[in-house]
Amino acid sequence: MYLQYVVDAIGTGSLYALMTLGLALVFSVMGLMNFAYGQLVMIGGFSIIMLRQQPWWAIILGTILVVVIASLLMERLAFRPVRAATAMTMLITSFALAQFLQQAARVAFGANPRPLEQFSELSVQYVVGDLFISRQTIITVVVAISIMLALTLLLKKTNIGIQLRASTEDVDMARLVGIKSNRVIASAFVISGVIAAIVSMLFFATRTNVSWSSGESIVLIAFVGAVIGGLGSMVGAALGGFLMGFAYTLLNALLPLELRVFADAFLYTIVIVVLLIRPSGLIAAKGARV
Amino acid sequence: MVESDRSDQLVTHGLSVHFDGVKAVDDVDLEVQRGRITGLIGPNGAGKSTLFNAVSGFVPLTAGRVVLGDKDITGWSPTRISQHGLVRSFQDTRIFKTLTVLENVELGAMNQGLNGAKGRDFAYGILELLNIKHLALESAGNVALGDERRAGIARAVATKPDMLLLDEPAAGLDEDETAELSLTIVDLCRELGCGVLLVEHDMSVIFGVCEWIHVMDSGKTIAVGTPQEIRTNPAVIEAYFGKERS
Repeated sequence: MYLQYVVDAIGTGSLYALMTLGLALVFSVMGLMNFAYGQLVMIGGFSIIMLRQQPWWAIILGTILVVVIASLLMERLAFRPVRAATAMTMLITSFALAQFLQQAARVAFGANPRPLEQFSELSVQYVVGDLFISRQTIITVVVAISIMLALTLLLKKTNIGIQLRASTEDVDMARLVGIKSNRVIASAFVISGVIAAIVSMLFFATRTNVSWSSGESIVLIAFVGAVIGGLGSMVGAALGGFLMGFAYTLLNALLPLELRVFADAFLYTIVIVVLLIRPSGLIAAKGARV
Repeated sequence: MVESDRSDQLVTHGLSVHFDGVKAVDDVDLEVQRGRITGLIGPNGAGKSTLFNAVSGFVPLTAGRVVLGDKDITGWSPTRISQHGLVRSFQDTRIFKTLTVLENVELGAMNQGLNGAKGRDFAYGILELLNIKHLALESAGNVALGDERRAGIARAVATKPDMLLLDEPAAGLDEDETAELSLTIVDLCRELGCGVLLVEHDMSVIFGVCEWIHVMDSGKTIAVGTPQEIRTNPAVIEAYFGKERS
């Protein structure tokens, strides 16, 4: 039975690992912890509702397109004007943007959650010994690993990847050697937008509705994942996100019923303990601090 | 950049930098010609580093002008200055340690529009010029200090600068490494046809490679001339060598 929980937790962990990766990428390049990232996932959710009657490939491409455009608009209209400001200003800007997008979604789609027709193909279960593994879990893990490999290849083998890594390490020096920071930062927002779109498709595939507040909880867990993984470290972020999703699922499954309502409290207690032991996160990037 | 677009000289006119009333650099006229290695020397506190930082846009000027070729670059940002062909190295190298040595140099090549295989070949050529081709695929954070400095210079050189400002490139190097680096600097200047402004404490480097030397003391220029002229200049002996002897 415990192994079954572990299998489920791996699926959720993979999802959060992806989400955290998108957050960490933007943080690494411009020092912005974008709390409006959850609203990109929410926008992805509403895109799925709008496109639900289309073929599956149109849903995927359409959702990616919408979320990437939203991510680029975020960068251009909200964050670029405050790029030279303090980290606190950027953080507050991201909170304000998150609120704005939530309320805009509330006006556009209503205060009540909008029902999402289930993707029945994803709920197919495979039996492996005593374990039940859903197609959804397999897809989530495979997609997460594929995205991480693709991101690694992109960062290692392409010009924009090398420029992104250089900007991540020392953005001022990167500018001095001619790297165009606008282009690099916009690229980071495109990549993180693609990841947010994929997260939203994986996330809402198991949900029955989408609401204006849908992105709220997921971004908080991903943010904490990035912090315990090590801000500024991609590997650390993915690991931190995975552990958060993994621990969250296990706590919800294993805690006695009367304590289950306190699952979040247990989760964040573990986070505090981890940060007391490793204040810079599990895999600290050079110069990073929490 | 086509040859005719290149800046032939870097000149400062009456450049001054004051910090809270302290005249770190005071009314300095500096001239660096393309194709020539110019040394900038002076005892500690002479104002060399401040002048160097002011010319490259890292410190605001209190007065005066900086002219690169036919462009007045006074008040420009360091990025804009580097985009116009005046590129500097750093004492602490500021190399991208998580990138390989080759990737560091490729970044400079990308700035020239050289991408993919072309950029890689160009970067390998620069590394060969600096004798660190064998370290191309090493992580830049793992190489020895001397090689790290060379990698930093290689990255600057890969941007094909008109003027290359080298900030104490021999600091922390042993005698052999310093001698080798001196030869490299001469080769670079010859191969690239750029002007070099060299700030260096090691007099063997300065007198070994520079064709023109600018000497400062207490923020002011005290002598300008060929190495031979500087060696015998009484003001330099008094202000610089005299102080060293005492």
